[in-house]
Amino acid sequence: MIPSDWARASVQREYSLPVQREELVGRYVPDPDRPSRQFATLLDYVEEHQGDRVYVESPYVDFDYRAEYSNLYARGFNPPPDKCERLLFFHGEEFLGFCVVRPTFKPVGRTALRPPPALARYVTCTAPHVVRPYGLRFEVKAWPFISQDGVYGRCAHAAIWAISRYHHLKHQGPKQSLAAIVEAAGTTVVTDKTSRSAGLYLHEVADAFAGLGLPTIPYQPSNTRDLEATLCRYLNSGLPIALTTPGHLTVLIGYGYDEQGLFFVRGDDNTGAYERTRIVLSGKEAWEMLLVPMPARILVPGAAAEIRARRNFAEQAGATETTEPVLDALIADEFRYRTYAIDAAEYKAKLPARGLGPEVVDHHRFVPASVWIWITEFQRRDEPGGKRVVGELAIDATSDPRDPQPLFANLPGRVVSWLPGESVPQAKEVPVVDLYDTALEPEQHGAS
Amino acid sequence: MNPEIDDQNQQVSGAGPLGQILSTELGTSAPIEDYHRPLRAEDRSRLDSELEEVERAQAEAASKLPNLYAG
Repeated sequence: MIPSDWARASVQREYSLPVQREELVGRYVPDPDRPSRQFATLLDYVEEHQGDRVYVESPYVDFDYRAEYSNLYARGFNPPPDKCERLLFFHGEEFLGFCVVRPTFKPVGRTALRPPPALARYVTCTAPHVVRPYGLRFEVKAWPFISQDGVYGRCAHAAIWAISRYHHLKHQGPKQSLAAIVEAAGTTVVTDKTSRSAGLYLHEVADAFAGLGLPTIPYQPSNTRDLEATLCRYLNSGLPIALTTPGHLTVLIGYGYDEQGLFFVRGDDNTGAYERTRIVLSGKEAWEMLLVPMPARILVPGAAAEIRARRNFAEQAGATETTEPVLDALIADEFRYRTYAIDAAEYKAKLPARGLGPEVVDHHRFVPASVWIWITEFQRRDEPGGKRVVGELAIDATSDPRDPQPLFANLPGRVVSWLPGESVPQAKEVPVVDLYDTALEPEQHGAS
Repeated sequence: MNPEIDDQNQQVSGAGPLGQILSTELGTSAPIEDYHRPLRAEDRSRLDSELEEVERAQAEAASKLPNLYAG
């Protein structure tokens, strides 16, 4: 039952938490026999942040709900309201995030809420969300979340929407609605008959991503060498991963280690934006397939980039007597590899803060590079802190995946460049820097 | 702030970080076969085989798209 004053300007505009939690739930999830797990989880996250205030923006016209509404609900005889209400969560003056509430069976629409404190440092896929209620401006970094409405969109649509919206906010990709996802999946004909969506087949999921400009790299978990390292490479790069389990599609958005070992942070439209999960290879929760939607111009998979980087780095380590100890250390397996994709301009901008030495910084900044590059760091296994990198090598992410091309590298005492059109690399000696800072966060130590 | 580029030798003069970066010398070229200790053929072959394995696994994964995900 939708409240009679839904989306009117006269609604109650403020709630205190936790005191008025039940009132809030009573308004937005009025039927106790049809609870909203997503709404409950959302409020749990807010309370974990000690959120104490909820402001209501009403009416609120939402881009995504309007797309659902105009493509499906408006065709019904007695459609639900066409407007939403938006909840703005605060802890004191601190903005925690927002939730667009839809007047539908599953009310949680577009939502961005700061990751809960216990998981925040493990979430690698967050994007800035800006809201401007009443002429004010607030920003929060969060994973974009939406629950399926169970009619126009299902779990697959919600997961695709979240990944697409993330890339829009993070990498300036196009802003896509659920309607665009339905169309890109090639399933418009179903919803044109004003019938419920039955979900998407995996090939339709892949088609939808491709149609939205995010072609996918597929992985079969049971048949992927170094699965943990494979996943960590993408998450280190801030690239979310679509995960299929029997009948369900969710998104991996981070990882970390606890007393039980490696875990992943997953956005699940049936529960919430941030939940802890682990690799499962059999049974009802088995991981069936992984799809990594790539922003345009990343053609080389992370594993291929790392393998080629290891070869090129080893070749350069044998170049001179100065670099020979690095080759010996490689042969003795004293290094671990940490690989991530990054926008080359962002990579170059961050170089001076890492203690590489000015000659290396200027060299890497000068060498031409593709927009997206893969970086493999060669780190000493026996160094626990952030200052543990011996050298690194950049791979052109736009090159042929069967023959990834190096761009530039540094190892102690030497910098190397592979210029377009040149058949052999150029190199010069630079002052030796033994160890310098990793570009990855402390939690992103990955697996290998 | 604009650096001045000498057409004759491509050297850059001028102050600031851009001038400094554009003055970078990349060094000399040498075929990797002439290196002090070239990578062993078996190591190169092993890494190239790993690369081919990645390609094969992905082709196999791409062929398995049968299941319905309705949430």
